[in-house]
Amino acid sequence: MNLTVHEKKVLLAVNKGAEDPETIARKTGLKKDAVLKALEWLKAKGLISVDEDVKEVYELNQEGRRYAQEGLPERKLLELVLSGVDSVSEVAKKLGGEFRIALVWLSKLGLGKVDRGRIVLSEKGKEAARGKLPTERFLELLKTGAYASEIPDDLRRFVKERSKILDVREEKEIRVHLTDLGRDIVKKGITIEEEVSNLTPEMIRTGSWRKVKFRKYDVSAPTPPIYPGKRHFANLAKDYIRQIWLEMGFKEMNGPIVTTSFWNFDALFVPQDHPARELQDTFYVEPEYGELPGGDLVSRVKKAHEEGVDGSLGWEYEWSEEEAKRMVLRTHTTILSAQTLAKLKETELPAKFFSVGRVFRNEALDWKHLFEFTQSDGIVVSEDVNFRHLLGYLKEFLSKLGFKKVRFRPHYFPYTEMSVEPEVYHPVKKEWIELGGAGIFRPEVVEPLLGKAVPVLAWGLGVERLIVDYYGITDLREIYKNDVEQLRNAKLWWL
Amino acid sequence: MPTVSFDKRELLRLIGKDMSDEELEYELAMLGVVPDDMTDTEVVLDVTPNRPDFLSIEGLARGMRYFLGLESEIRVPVVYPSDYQARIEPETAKSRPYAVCAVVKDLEMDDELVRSLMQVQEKLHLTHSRNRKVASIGVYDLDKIEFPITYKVVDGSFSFVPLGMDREMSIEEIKKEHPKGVEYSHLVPGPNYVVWVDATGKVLSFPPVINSQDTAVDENTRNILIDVTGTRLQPVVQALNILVYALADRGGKIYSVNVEGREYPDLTPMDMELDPDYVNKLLGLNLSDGEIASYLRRMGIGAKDHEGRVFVKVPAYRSDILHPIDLVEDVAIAYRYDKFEPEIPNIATVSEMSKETKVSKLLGQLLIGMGFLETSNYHLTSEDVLHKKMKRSTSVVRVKSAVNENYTVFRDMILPQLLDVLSRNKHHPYPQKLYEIGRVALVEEGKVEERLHLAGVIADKSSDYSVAKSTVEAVLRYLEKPVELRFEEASNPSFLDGRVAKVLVNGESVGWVGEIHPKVLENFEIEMPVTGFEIDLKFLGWRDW
Repeated sequence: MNLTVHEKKVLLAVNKGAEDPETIARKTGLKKDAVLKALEWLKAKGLISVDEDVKEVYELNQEGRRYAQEGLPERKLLELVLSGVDSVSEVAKKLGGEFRIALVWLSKLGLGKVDRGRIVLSEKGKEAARGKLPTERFLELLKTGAYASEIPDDLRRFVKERSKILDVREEKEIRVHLTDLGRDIVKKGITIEEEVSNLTPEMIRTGSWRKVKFRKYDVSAPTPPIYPGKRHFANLAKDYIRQIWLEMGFKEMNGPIVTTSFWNFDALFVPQDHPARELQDTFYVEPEYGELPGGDLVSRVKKAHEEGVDGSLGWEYEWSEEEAKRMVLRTHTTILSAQTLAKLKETELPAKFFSVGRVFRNEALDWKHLFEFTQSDGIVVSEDVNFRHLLGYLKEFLSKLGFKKVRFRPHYFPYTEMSVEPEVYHPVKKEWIELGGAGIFRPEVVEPLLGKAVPVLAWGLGVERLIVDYYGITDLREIYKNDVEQLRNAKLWWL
Repeated sequence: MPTVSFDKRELLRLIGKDMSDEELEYELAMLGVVPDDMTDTEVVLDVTPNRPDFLSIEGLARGMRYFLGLESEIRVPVVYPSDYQARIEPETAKSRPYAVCAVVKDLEMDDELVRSLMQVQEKLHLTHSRNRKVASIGVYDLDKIEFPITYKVVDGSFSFVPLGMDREMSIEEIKKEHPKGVEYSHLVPGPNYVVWVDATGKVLSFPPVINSQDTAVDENTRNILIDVTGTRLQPVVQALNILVYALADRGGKIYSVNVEGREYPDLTPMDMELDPDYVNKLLGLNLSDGEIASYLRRMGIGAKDHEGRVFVKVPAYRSDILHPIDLVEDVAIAYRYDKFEPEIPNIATVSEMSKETKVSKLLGQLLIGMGFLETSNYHLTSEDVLHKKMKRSTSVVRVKSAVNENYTVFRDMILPQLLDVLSRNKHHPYPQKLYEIGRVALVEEGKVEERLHLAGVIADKSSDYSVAKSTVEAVLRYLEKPVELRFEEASNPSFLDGRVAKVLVNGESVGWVGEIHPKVLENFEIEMPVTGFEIDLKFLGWRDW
């Protein structure tokens, strides 16, 4: 049988007659905790049997401890009388509240009595005053606690009579015996080799590790947690989204967050009096105005708004350059698609681009609204793409994020036609969740930017809504709370 | 998006088909009108801004009748000629230049019509008309008016009895005291205003604020005059046409009004031509010319195919049709979005990650290797965190009219937010090592310049300058092109003097590293020593735009 050194030591001590943990600890030199642990294992292995017995332990209470320190009232009285102070009134004055009890015990113990206003000690009293009173011996015995069996017969009466100075506590008493199996093992002989706890460089150098035995650990015991450095859980998901587009051959777009209304709205054919451009939706900033792009792009966009391009009627109003210069925090990453189209040359077609980036809306912060959130945009620019392809990309993307049930609904955006709102079915909430917008860019958007009205599939999807379920998040604000415990414990992105 | 609520029974009655809730919900969604809520008696809908005609129950019912194939002939209400005249004084062009009118007679003014008329007027005002700024509608009792009527300019002392009042008020008084006047006074700054008056000088209205009591519609009204005035012709005309169509659907007879030589309402459909190849190419379908025409008719658009072209008549309330692409979408909606088979095209292109993503990933890996946790903060923060608690002050991008008062400035440094994160995580075990790589915006000579910053904090009993410096050295050790890195003694109020250095890359100052000043820690209520660093990564050329 496999026994640890502790177990072996304890087993041998029990064999030599040690019955209780204290004795075993003393004999083996182990700590009581270690003994108890070893006993538990030995019991589990069937080598010892353990009898438990409940015993009463008497201990001094607070008052008792005070007496032990200051002396009992009857002792104080004896001392006074011996020193010549024996008038009752004087003694009473000196002992105060303890006088009565001192007098009771004086007579109970037969140490003396009151005679015509004086305290007179008996012979027994005089003798006792020189040694220890029985009550004092009782007090001493209880100072460190005593089992009922440890109290001599002549003192036993005090358990009742002086119950006010003591507490009674129940203590389990353990008695250990070897089982037959235990005796067998001991008979076969137990050898103890010293164990070491740690392998040291010294042992390796000198080769002394060969001669030692390594103490076995309790491998199932709890160990302190280690928290590794880790990416933010939402960024793991955003990386995965990037990976989906990269694997499908898309190039990542990038651009500024603080930008002009021109890029955020005008270049996307959003009329200047569109409600989305109002303060309550869009963050306008200081510095108030920015610069418009050079070349004839501005005048082409102006024309698209005022009178239309590529056979369109346009919005038929007077387009303001000043309005277009107003700086905003981008409200969608579709702005990156517009900027990419403006740089793209016809010779570079077909082309596919994506982005993952922050966007801003002047909205109150609550569990389902953030003023700053993440969008993933994409465009596919080619003469040969059509509406079914748009749905194809969206379906594939959403399926890679685990959404198998997808539906497409007609919607409206000023810059796309067809306009689609993709929705995924939430099996728990039993409802369709809107994910953003998609469509084919209007000729009024593409022509001024690219120089030719080529079909451009385009989408902009809200990212947070796509990832909250995976992390079991119901309040969107949690994502950007940066709670260290959450960051440490959030699972990885396994999709 | 505007939300309208319609009586469900009334809607189904006008559609002319009994439908289950699921059926109605599905058909509406497929038409592009999302049911927000549906109860036993009510349908609440989100109407997109391209279809203001759906803001009226009559318009939505008409759209559904076509969509469901219950009706296929495109009806254009007859506009009876009349002698009604409206004059526009030229000076009105300066304040509210466009004004159009129509007359509708023989109306049965029951509760449903009154309710519908009020709702469509209110919703058109709110959304389509940008809360009366772009267009505003007035409805009057025709029989209380003497023609010709005149649209003219007056000053603030001009007075009349406004709707709901029993005494004359001047325009200046209305602007200050009348509830509508207070609500819309920002649209009429003065000193000149426009009003409609009739031939006897009786006031019809003070657009876009309030009508007069004298010409108000009541329960005996059977004939009405409608006017729409505004700042842009197209929405003004469209609002009139939507109303007139809805009233015609209710049995009203439309009469024209001559507005300075032009007859309104003009309900003549717009002629367009559609190339079937264009439709099929964009939709990825193979529809015949006849099918295309028939799908258009399902959207309430007149369409006939003839010799390889589709000839289209767009009703006068559909001013969202700007380009043939809009007709293609209508074909797609009528074909139904859920019938399209999604397909990924065979277009081979080469992928590429942006430089910013790459830089953030690579340097982030090093910090994670050193035990740092990545945070993700908002770019917007408070003046308190960014400046006050940090004992610093800089020129930054500020947002105007922010709804959230704790997020009013765009960060120009990440470190303050990391300290803020530490202050919110005091109850979690230390050491806490955090990093973030992200955008900041600087303002230099009134111009905004975005940078990519890398920042980190180490909050630990044994956190000191040397640990932070070693961390910075480690982060910048493995670059594509090695850089010369120096640490120069300098002073910075956010850090402890003598324990802070300016970081120089190739001789250029790029950031700071040091022990955070105990006063700053106190400001953030952090009770643990913290060292921090922040580096501007401009020298890596991360910008690829």
